[in-house]
Amino acid sequence: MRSEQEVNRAVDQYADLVRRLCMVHLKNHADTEDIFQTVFLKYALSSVPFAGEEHERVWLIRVTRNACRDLLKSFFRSRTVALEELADLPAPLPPDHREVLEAVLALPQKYREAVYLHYYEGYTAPQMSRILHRNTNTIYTLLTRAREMLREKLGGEED
Amino acid sequence: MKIDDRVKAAFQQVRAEEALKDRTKALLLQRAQGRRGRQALVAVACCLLFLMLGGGWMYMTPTAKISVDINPSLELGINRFDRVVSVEAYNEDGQELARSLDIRFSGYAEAVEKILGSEAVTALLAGGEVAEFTVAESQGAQAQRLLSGLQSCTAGHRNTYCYSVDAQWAQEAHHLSLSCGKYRAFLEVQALYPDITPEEIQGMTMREIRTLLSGAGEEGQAASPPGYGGHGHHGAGHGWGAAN
Repeated sequence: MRSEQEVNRAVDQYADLVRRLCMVHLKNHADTEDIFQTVFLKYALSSVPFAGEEHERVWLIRVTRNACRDLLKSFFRSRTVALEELADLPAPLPPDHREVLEAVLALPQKYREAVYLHYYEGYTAPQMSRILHRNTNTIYTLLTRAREMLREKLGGEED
Repeated sequence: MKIDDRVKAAFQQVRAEEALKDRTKALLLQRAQGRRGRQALVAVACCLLFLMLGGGWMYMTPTAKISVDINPSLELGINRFDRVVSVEAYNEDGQELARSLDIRFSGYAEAVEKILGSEAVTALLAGGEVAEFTVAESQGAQAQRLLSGLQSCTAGHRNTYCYSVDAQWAQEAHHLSLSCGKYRAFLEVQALYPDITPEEIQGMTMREIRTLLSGAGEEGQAASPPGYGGHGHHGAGHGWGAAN
């Protein structure tokens, strides 16, 4: 079990990362909070030694991703529909950012995750293939299609 | 602005709320404390269990033997706290005597008094039989204590004798299915009558053995064996004897 100090440091350092991943995978705030706490509880209980900050970051991405997928696959979720399936966006958000985030969250699940990891976290396709355990060419395809879909919705300049 | 930059800027707006971080930290702290509490509880329980098992093992392990031989032959296992933790009979009379007594877990002195006060033993001693008590222990300190206690217990009884031998004797005695006291007697008789067998000694009363030894002494075949006739000595196999 990790020390309280170590866990608090991880919460401060990776809270935004986990929060954004939850937003990408889930659609309501209650689930986000559950996953947020589950991820950091796993971190606290884990004895995995990290080779460095990047290793730790990738570990948290994987754990968050798996926790979200487990939640979405769960028996209860698969047979119920939330009353309010709204995107879990921060309340005060400038219109342009809101429009972009809504466009990203409107993409199918597999594209959302790729868009976040590539455009925001800055991972390359080969790095993402290792993190997501998917073929590199599949990642390239996902990114290309996602970019096309976003351009259709948002317009904007060519790269 | 390029789409890439717009996406990045939009995600930048998404932050984990401070309240969410605080709630998570509080929950993790609570879980950690609960877990540490449970771990401490488990550790204490393990220590207690270890102490109980260790204490039980120490209590139930005999560190000395007191062999009681008349013709009933008994061996009392004595733990480090001088309490009787086992009673083993070495012949049928011994089994009968062991069945008639409730001496397990009592102090050795109380056990010896109960044996000497029992109907069967009182009758045997009144009829001229001889009771011998032999302490077998390897460390020395407990043997001295037990021997001294036995001498006090038997002081008021005629025809009782106390001896002390090394614990190694117990192993050799048990190998021949004899109690320590009978084995000591067997060695002494064997020194005078080499053809004597353990089975023959097992069937004899201590009085008969004494008679045999004193008869041999009178015939001049050998000197009176140590430990008999009220003169005993320590160690070197034959032990220490004291007669009452």
